Amino acid sequence: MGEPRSRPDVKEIKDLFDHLFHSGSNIGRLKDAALAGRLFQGVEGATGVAGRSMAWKLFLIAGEPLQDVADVEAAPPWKTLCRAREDYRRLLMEKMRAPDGGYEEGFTVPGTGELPPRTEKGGGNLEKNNPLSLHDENPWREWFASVELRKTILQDVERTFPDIAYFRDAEVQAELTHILYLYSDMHPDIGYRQGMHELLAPLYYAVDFDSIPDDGDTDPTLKEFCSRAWVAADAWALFSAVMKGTGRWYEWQESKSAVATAEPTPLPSHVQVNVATRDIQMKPYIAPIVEAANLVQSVFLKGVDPELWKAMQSAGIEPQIYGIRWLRLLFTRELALEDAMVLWDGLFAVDPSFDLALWICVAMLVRIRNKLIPADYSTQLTYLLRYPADSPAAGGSAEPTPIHHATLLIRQALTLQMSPTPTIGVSVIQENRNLLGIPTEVPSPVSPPVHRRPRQGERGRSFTNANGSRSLGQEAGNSKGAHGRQASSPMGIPETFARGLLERGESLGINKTVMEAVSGLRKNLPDLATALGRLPLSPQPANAMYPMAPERPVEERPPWEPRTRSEMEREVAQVRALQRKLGDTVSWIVDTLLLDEGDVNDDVGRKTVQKRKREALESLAYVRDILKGTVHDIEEERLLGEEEAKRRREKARREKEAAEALSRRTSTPHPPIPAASIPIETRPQGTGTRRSQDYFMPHATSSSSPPTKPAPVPAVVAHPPAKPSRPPPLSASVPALPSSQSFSLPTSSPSTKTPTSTGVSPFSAPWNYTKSDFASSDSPIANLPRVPPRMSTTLPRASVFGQALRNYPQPPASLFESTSNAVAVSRDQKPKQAPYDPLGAIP
Amino acid sequence: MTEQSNFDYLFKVVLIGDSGVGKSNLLSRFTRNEFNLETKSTIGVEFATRSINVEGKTLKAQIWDTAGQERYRAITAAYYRGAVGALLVYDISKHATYVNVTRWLKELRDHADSNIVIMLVGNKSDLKHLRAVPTEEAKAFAAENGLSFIETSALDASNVESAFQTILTDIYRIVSSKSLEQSEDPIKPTSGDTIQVSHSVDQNQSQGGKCC
Repeated sequence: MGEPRSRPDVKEIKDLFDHLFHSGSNIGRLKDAALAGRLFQGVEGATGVAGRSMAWKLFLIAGEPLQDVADVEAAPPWKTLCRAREDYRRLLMEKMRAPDGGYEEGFTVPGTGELPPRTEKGGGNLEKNNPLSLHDENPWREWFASVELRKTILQDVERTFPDIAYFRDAEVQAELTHILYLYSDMHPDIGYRQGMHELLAPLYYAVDFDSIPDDGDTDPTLKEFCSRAWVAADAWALFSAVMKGTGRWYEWQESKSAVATAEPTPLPSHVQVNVATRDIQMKPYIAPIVEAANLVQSVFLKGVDPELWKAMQSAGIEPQIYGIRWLRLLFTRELALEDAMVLWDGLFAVDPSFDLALWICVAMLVRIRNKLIPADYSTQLTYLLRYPADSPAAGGSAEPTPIHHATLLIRQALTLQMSPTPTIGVSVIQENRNLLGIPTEVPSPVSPPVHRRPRQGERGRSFTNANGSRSLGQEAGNSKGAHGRQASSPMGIPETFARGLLERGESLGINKTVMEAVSGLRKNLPDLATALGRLPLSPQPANAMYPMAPERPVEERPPWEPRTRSEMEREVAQVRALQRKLGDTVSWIVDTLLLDEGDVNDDVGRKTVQKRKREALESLAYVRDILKGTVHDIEEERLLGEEEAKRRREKARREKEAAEALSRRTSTPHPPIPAASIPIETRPQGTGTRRSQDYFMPHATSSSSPPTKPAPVPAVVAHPPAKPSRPPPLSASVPALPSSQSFSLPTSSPSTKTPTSTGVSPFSAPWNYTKSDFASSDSPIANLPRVPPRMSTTLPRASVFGQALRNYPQPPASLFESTSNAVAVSRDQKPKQAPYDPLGAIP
Repeated sequence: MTEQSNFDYLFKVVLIGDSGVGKSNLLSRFTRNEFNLETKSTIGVEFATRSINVEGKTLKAQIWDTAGQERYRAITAAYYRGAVGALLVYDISKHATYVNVTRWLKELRDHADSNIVIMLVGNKSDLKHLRAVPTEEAKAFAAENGLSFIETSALDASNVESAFQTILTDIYRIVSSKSLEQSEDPIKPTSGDTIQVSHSVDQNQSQGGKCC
């Protein structure tokens, strides 16, 4: 049996303690190290690794504040750990106490190892409190039940890792039993389920492995952290943390508490109202493990490796059959224990919620796809229930793989979780080939599945197996061979049908009569279909649905390399930023479109509003193009109307100036109010407008760029203040339009005399006129033409509207051309266009 | 793999019974001729196949072994689906496991095909000095409930072969004599129906297959 407990040197533990907690490492870095399998050195083939339990404690039971903050310096989770130890002692003392106040023989107080004090005598009522009493409230009943439960647990604990001598130790078994008993007592809905013992055992082992006797002369903090007296309590704390994530996979009945809270009934508690519960929920209880397993196979795997999914699905593999053990034990039966521990290192570090475990299942399935895909039901199930040991690296790659295969699983699971696409699936397969020597080619099934007579006129069907076509004689003599199957080969519908029947047949234990009948069916149907000339042939090669050809990325990186996490995160961040930007734009568009020019009395104001709406529509169309993916390089300027964009730049500049001004403690009595701060509801009256204008005047005049002068805000246009550069020439060149008093325009402000388009565009409606200071020399976007947005429809009312607009005086062509030379090419169509109004926002 | 297609009949047989009665060892003894005194508890399902010959026919047995504690909903449906035989195992040295046989029978009645062939198996017959369940009592119980009965020892391999042989032969007799009656259960393999299918296909073919 060897010595049951071998532990590393105290010094070794100390070194690792210092490495973890006193080297200035932050948790994020430690997690990364665990994820990369770099946390511990020389772990190959060793079940016990010094320091592992310390890292697990850090990852799993660290206090709440540490959970999210990756750059906090790693520190032993004292508070939580001490609380857990205290809880464990208190709870166990309480639960293990018989109703007469005594304890079972051999029980010692956790943490001290002393014999428990015999606290209380039995209750006074011997009628009830008496081991032999048959009274319903006899506390001994509960006690006997708990003894029974511990017996059940011990039965499994005794069978825990039979090949590891450590677990044959009676003391260890007793502690494991206590922990499991305490857990199941605290979680009555789940209780004790087989498998928990194997989840606990490695945790306990690791804690004990790192434990330090209290009498040694080492660092007292280390001694406290790894106290041998508290091994069980610490293991309990770790186990509880793990079960927080994995406990759902042990659930086997509807949580009683959930049912009770969901449906309070006025009936006395002994009345069973299960029927009512069912009626309300109308959904049969599905154990979470079944749901999780289904998710793995029917959703995740399907999205990542459709070919493998199809093979498993058509064979009739039910995912819970293998999923239950994979997930409940966290892969300790699928991988060698020491490898599983490496996997746990990464899993605990990355995802205490254990959602990643589902993706580890996917990665494990993909890793053995070559075995699964060509196999039949029985063979598939055998592989799934007896997961092939290690990686079949026998392909000749003798050099040690640069990465532990369990660590690789974690990494692949993360990658797949982040982007569950067939492309990533392929990259995982490629990675398995490069690192583990697993060929990417799925081997052909041994027994040829398709019994078809070679026919003339048969279109080129490519089977994955070269010897797929058999001679007629062979086929005739081989009715028994009907059970071979080839999941990946494309088949006609009749064949698929027959094959499905066969597969079902095997999985259902169907008898020979059926088999023969079906193989007859299989032989006949294709002929039949060919006779009809409708043989549904798949024109594609077997793996067409799952292209093996690597999709070459633009970068230099080899194609099998999955994208790194940071890349993905960056991409996600970019998408989020874009979303926010688009949301911003759309809210501006909505605001603008909601403007009601009916409230504006004068034509100029109305036109301003209309022009804005026009711009808003253009922006909206642009947003549409972005969202549809037809636009790749987003021009920010097109997201907002010129005016709005300008206003925002202006605002930013003003704010900056204001901040500077404030810091310089100038004598300005009122800091400039950013235009955007005017709430939509407020309708600034003339004075208000004037006042804001007053505020801005100095800036405008002192500023070197003329168009920056803010405009008085028209009464109705609450959101974007009018731009000053546009209206004056309009009002000047269209004298027929009376200017309203509420719209006080600085008629001859020098700031508006931009020598470009602004002063020379008196033509038609404002929205037909698209140049303005957009093209002004000081604008950074002066040479960016505003391409007219592609609108899907032109509403009739728009053309009517356009007709009406054409009554306005047109600008002299020469003027127009001379001023818009730079941008005329792309803009020349614009003024001629009838205004689009797909949303009907322009009246 | 070629061996796999080399059989005449395929039967799914499940092993049920309390935790620790030796189901997994019965399975390993029968399929691999292995016995392990210290086996891990079965979590979920184990699975193995073996082919035997009965009256010149090759019967392939697909034997499913489940966790004794797993008589709950999580995998029950998948476990019993398509099973044509069940070995209900108890431990002759632990009376409680024999008492629970009734519960297992109820479970079978609830979840398995009604025509499933059941055999009561008293395992660990090598533990003669610890016997807690008299053979006669179990035999009588089996007769009462229409089960066949055998005592086995996976440890010394006695009767293990015979137990599987017996149940597989029973199933084979029933299937080959087509007395496994058709039931409403669509999953259940039936013979009459399928013969019709093949006939109809032949007819279709002779007619030029207008149905497809």
